[in-house]
Amino acid sequence: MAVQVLGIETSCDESSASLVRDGTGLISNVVASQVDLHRDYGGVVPEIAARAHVESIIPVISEALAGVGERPDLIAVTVGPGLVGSLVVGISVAKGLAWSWDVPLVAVNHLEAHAMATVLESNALEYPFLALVVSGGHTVLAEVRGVDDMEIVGETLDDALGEAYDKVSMYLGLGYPGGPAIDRVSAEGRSDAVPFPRAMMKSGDFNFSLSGLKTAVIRFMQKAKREGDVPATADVASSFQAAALEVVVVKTVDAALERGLRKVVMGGGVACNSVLRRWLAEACEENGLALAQPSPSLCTDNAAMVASLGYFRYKAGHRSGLELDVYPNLRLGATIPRGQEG
Amino acid sequence: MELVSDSIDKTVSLGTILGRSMTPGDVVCLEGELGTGKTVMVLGIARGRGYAGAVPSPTFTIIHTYPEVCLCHADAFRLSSADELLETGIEEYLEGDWIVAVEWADRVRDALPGDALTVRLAFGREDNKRLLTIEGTGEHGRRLAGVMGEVR
Repeated sequence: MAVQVLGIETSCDESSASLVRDGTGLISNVVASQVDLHRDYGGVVPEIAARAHVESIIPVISEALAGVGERPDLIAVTVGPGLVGSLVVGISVAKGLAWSWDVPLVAVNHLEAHAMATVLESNALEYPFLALVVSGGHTVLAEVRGVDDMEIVGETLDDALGEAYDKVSMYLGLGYPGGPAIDRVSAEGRSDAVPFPRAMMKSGDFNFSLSGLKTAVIRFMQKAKREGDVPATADVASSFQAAALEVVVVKTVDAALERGLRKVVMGGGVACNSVLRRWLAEACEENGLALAQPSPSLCTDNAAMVASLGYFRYKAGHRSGLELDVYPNLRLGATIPRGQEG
Repeated sequence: MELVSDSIDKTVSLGTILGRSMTPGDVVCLEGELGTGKTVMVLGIARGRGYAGAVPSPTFTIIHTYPEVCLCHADAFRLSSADELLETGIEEYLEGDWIVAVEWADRVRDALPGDALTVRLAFGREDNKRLLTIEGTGEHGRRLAGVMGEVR
């Protein structure tokens, strides 16, 4: 019998609900974005985020379930990582619905859902593979051997990739969110205009550091203004992007090769970036690696990936009780405490 | 009081000296533009507490905690008022047996205790140079300022 899973995702600035059949059959995926609310602030404001989730989550769930006569068979909800106030909205609604509908509840790690989102388009995932999850808050390379077997291979030591994009974009006056803004402007700029540092390229591990690059952009602009020789913003943005993405692409391919993994999977909001998609595709092809690039709507935060992973976790025996809590600092691959799973 | 750092390593070591001297209830307010080294300073504080792992930027999740060493690392970059910081539950750390370091503290000053050490970081002329202005108020803050005063 088919299992219809309602996924609920409120970890950051998207309130999202989705209905997925048997982990891969996408029925609905509704996302209410708060990007407009946040644009004035140059980032996500948690209080606004939590309040907006409260207002939008019920209509979003209603829309995701519209046209479906019966209640879902399972509810999957993101428990972390994310903003605590936002996460609480999602799990509160999930618990209420699970109790009133008398259906099981399963907890999902937001980062693991990003790593597995591609299953919604490929219908089956062949393990193992290397996942690259890049977003506003995270930059992680992970070896995925199964739904319960994921290991961090490398991660950022300071700023996340999306955070670097946001901060540099703001500094250059290109606005928020920084990812799409820099991607757009960079298309008109020269990526070799400014030789920004390729941090950690030879660090001998698969970790990243983006804070120094952000500072290099700021110091370069300060000096350029002082000397009255400021290059075109598109050139600076494009050069920043090249420095950031070159390291990500090289380390992703190297990590897959070193671990003997034949497949790379992208996820997270920055996986929408057109240059990252193109460069990684080229590098994977050169090295004989298969590459899965989910559609942009499955890269940015969405509940379909939560419903999907929730289904596979349920199949693996996971259940959560109504005492389920949130884990704002949850790491990829970490066990969600057993005490929370009934 | 002012200190000068001429490298990231030096900023880490200043943070380490500070971290070694901190006791529960101590609060460090970090101020300064993007790229001046606020997170680097907190990395040093964590090292001074004996924490050897990575200390990533909390800009996205606002609060990172390191329970092994009772360190709370907060970041108000995305916040615009003290109330918003309070909504994240920071009081639990400010009132408990934690040491608390807050980046962009000037944006949320009213949510933080008056008794604190404030470190303002600014760019120097050379690429890696940073100027640190250090000011302690209250019992905890003045004690920590005294510790930093001995660095010179």
